[in-house]
Amino acid sequence: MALIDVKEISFRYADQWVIEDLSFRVEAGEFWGIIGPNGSGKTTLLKILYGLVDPQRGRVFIDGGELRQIRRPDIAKKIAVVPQEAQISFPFTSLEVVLMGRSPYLGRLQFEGRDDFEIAERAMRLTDTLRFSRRSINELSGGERQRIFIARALAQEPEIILLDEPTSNLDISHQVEFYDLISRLNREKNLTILTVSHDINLASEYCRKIILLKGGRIFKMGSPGEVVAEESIRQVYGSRVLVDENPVTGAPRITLLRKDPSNIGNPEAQAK
Amino acid sequence: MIVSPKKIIAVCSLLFCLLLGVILASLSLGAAKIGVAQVLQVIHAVYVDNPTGPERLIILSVRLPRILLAGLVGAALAVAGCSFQALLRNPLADPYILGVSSGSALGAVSAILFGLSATSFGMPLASFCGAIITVMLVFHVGKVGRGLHINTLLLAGVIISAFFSAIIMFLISAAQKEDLSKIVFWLMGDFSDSNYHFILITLPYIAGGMVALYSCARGLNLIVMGEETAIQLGIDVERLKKMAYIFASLITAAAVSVCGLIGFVGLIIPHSVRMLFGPDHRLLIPASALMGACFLIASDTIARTIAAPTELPVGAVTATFGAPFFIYLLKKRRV
Repeated sequence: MALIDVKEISFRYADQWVIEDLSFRVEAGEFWGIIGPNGSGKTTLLKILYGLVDPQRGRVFIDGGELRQIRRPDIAKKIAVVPQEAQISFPFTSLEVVLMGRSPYLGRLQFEGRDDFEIAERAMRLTDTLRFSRRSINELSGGERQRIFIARALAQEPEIILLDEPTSNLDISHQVEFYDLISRLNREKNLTILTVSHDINLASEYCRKIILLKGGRIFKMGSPGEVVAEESIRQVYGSRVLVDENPVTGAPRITLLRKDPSNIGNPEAQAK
Repeated sequence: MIVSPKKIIAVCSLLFCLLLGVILASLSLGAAKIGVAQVLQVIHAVYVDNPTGPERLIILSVRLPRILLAGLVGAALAVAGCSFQALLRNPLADPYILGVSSGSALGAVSAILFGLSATSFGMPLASFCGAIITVMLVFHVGKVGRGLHINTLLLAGVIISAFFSAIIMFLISAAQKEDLSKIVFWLMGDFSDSNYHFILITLPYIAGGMVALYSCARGLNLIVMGEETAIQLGIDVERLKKMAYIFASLITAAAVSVCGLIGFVGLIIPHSVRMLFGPDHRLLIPASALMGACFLIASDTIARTIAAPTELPVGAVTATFGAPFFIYLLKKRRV
């Protein structure tokens, strides 16, 4: 039985269909990437996967149970979400934020117990965030804050972690560090990962399966080698790219090409 | 600072002692000089026999109800402030931000102009009804589909406030002179009419509302991180938002109905408590209640003693302390 089984879902906001007739299955321990241009339905698909919005047609099964029939706290015990970026105007400390991951396991008036603290501490050790556990979340850098959100996700003890463009505000060093961490968690903890990404190179480097979305439909699905190809990228994004191999890992690598190649090699035209 | 039951009890016991101190000091201060020892004697005597005398009258029938009511209102406004700040995810929100104040003001002003203020319950009742109608109105405008939309709610509050303020202006321009001073005192907050009945009629609403809000404390921590995050962590966010909005509005309406609009308590108390003890609502709510009570009792004591025998509206005192503090917060705010 697949861990995530998406069956012919369609979703619309008002009268605009943003997801149409989409099906796929994710096995436990897999690492998936979802790519596609702006407005192709990536984020909406993610929202459907953790039950924030309900598709008008089709069904989503998690571990054999239909998602819409699972109670919210029970979903939160299976699926954790790492956000893109968060603006928080209240000065919670990092440890307090990570402990929030225990929320689905606590009763309304129940306090965190010794177990919860141990789980939070372990999550912070894994993400190398223990050093700033007492610092306010607002004082952290973007990279540190994203690691705190992974720690919070781990504190939920989920089977699945969904990531919504988690590195879009990080510099290249932190992007790689972030995906290295996620990749390690995927291997060592057998966590199932689905990440939405704008960065095709990062996705093809780390993900083992990729879904390429176009207009709410799956344009192509498979290994990075199958999906990241010049022709597919041109058809979906409408841009010309060069695809070759990452010389170190062999993963497909795209190089962007200008839409207007006439001024290549003409510094004066570039200066304008 | 991680919140645990032990820590909550420790902090609240400390603040409770502070509250007792403030109450004692306030009981002894006033036009008639009564020492703290004498205050204690009178209170002790209530349990032993039934003494009479001017001190007893002043302490038990004049000062004590006023102090208790100020404490209750201060606690209510502070807790409502905590909840609105969490609901709107804005540490600078206050209990009046969604228009409860304008509705209750319209009720109270109408009561004064139509002569209902002659009976002791006319004004509180009219003000409470005005507030509740506003709460329902704002709720309906702010509802999008089945859910509450926070920005729409905020806009609805602002617009309905503006509309009611306009009506209040019409009413005031037609008011008699003697009514005007009553209106001004009500709009600035005033405890001079306090009695035990006011405490008894507002206590159920305020206590019930506080218990309901406290039961949402952990949910409020999560909603501060964003509605989607709260849902991802297993919270029924729509239910939580409705609870927070309705109960915070209810206790505000009950508090305002017996004393008028007292500003700044609901803004600066939660904020200061957050600076002292951290943003966790499981501690923030009870600590704010106690601090709010201390602050408003102290402010009201100043209001009735500083220019004696004239009384100031207590809202003028809270604003005198509150406004500079608010500016300080704005200046040092890091977001």
